[in-house]
Amino acid sequence: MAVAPQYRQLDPLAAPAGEDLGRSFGKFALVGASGFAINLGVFAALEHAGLSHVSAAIGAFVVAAGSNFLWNRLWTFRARPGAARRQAPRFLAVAILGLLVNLAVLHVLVLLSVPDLVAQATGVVAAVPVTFLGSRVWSFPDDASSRVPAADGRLAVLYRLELRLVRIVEATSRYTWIVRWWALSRVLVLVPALVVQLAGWPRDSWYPPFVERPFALLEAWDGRWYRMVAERGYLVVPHHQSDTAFFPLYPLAMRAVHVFGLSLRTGGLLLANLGLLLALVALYELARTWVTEADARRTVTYAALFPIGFVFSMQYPEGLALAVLALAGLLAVRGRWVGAGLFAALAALARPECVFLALPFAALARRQWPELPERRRTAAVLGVLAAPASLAGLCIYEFRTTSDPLAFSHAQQAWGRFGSADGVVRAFHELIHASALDREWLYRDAIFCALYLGCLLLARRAGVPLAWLAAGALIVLLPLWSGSFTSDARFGLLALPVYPGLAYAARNRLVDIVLRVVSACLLVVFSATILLHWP
Amino acid sequence: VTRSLRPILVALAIAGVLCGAAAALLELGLPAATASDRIGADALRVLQSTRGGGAAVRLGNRRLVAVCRRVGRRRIVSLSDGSVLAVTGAKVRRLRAPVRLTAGVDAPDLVAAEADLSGNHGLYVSELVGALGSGALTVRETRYDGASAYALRIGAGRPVVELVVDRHTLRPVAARYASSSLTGSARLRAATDRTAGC
Repeated sequence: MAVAPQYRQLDPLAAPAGEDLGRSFGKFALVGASGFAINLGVFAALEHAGLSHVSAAIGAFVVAAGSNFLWNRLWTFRARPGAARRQAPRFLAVAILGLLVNLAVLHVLVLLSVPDLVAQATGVVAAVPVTFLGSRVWSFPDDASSRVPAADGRLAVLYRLELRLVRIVEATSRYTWIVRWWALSRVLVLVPALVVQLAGWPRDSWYPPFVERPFALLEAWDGRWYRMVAERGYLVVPHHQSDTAFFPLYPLAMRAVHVFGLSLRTGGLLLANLGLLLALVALYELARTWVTEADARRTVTYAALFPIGFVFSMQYPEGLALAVLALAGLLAVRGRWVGAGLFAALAALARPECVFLALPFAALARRQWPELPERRRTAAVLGVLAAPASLAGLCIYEFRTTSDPLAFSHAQQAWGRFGSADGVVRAFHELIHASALDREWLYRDAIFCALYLGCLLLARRAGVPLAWLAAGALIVLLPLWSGSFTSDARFGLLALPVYPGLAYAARNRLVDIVLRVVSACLLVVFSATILLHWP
Repeated sequence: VTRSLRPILVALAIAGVLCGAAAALLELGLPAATASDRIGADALRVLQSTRGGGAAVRLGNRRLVAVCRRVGRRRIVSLSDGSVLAVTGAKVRRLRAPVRLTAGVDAPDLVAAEADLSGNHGLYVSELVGALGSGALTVRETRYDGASAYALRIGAGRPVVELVVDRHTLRPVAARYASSSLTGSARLRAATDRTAGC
């Protein structure tokens, strides 16, 4: 369809002066054809080498996308300005979107018994419209600011879409410093994990071959149970440790990733680590509503470097849980109650303590109540009820599958935990009479419990609302009623106000530096000693 | 009052739907435990609530009688060939050797066979828990003494240890053992009272 001259300057698909749309599509198609050939060649080679069709498709994508970027930048869209640093991430984002379309089509066709190579070819072709539009509008754009927004019409809709995309990219680039802290902190976890396995410390026989599972250390302890739930569902083994003690969101997510060909182990580790990245971004935005910008930035730094944060890289649900928890909180603060409710519901399926989100949500809803119209009041109440409702859903499911609606709680007894009025007394009794064998680990948990409480007090001074602090305190203290400090250091990771509390404590530059260095050192030490005791 | 209450009531109704949706998500997203695992877990409950008194054992070409009793935390198995075993959890230790050793059979294999065929419920519990935990349990339908039964293979690889339980009551009725050098079977006896046996 030809674009009328009067709309041409509004059209994000319109080519800049001297460049013809049909011609650029021709070049794009030619580059695409070369990428197509490269893609199929690499795909066939990788499949021949023994990789699954999905893994081979991902490998082929990486090689072909690199080639396409180079040629599109140098030849197809060369008239368009833009530094490679800006264009490359956009191109990659568009290419990943195309890859998802490719993989979906490939997977469905393989399920329908279409030969792998034909399925891959169809998948690549199916992704072309997505990648062309994305490249044209976004990756290698014409200067958007030179265009005048139109009041109506389809082109105006496209224009607004483009502006929105540009804004998203700009917003994303605001978080690059968070990505850096995330990457640094994960290096501090992953490198020690690799090194101790290579060194075979403390015992070589505890590890599988390095080449097979280089991150075996991060799959230890509860990781086995979560994989078990993902593999075969819940099963109550009477009077013994059962997988019903482990909440289902993380295994569900592992299964979802497994559909794309990733093993449960790899998918679980990816989910945990990327979950942390998402959590840091959401935590930053949430903290900005509580404390100053400088404190919010330090909040993220300390959350990334937190000594017990090695758990965020393990096959544990904490990374994912922190992400959904922080996103739920952020959306609630912004008055987006439906989204907040959905994330709160997910959070309650990730870890039981996330149900305490209902507390700050209730306080927020109460504050917003007078200004809210009726429909949004309904959404606000729903947001408050979402986490308990989701937990009730888990009870229904467990009743159906195990005949015990509280199987997740009763299973804890096999680990020596049961709630009782004298639980805190028992916890302190255990602490005082801890055996020499593992008392230092118990002391670690107790020290972090005290640290969390101190941080919550500091968070109050920093300006974090009381209801959030109450939820944080419940997350830290309630496990003690089960009679032990064991793992409280890990449970407390989900108490969001702890991090702004630390940030407040580090307002002094020297304290800030010392805390960062100590946190980073402890993070390395705790990562290297994962096998000595469960977190 | 109606204006204030209506959003709450509507939200409560939607929360009910959300509760159902969460249950449905788990139902669709998580696999259900296999029939083998469920039978194994049910059989485990029965084993934990009952005690074995011993067994009539056929080991190679020998016929023996095993008697099992509890002494403190240990379970003591006495066999009619004079051997005595002490069982703690899944660990078995020979306290006294048999009067005549079976030719061509190595001692650890013989100890394992005698223990697995002795009708010791505690030992079966330990082995079954291990099999359930590692996902190694396999169950097949079989018949024993004309009645339908399940054969629970506890443990992967060799030796093969099968516990045969009645299909309706899931009470253990027999055990089978097969290694590279030794095969045996046993008809299990329940304890005469709740305090005796193991």
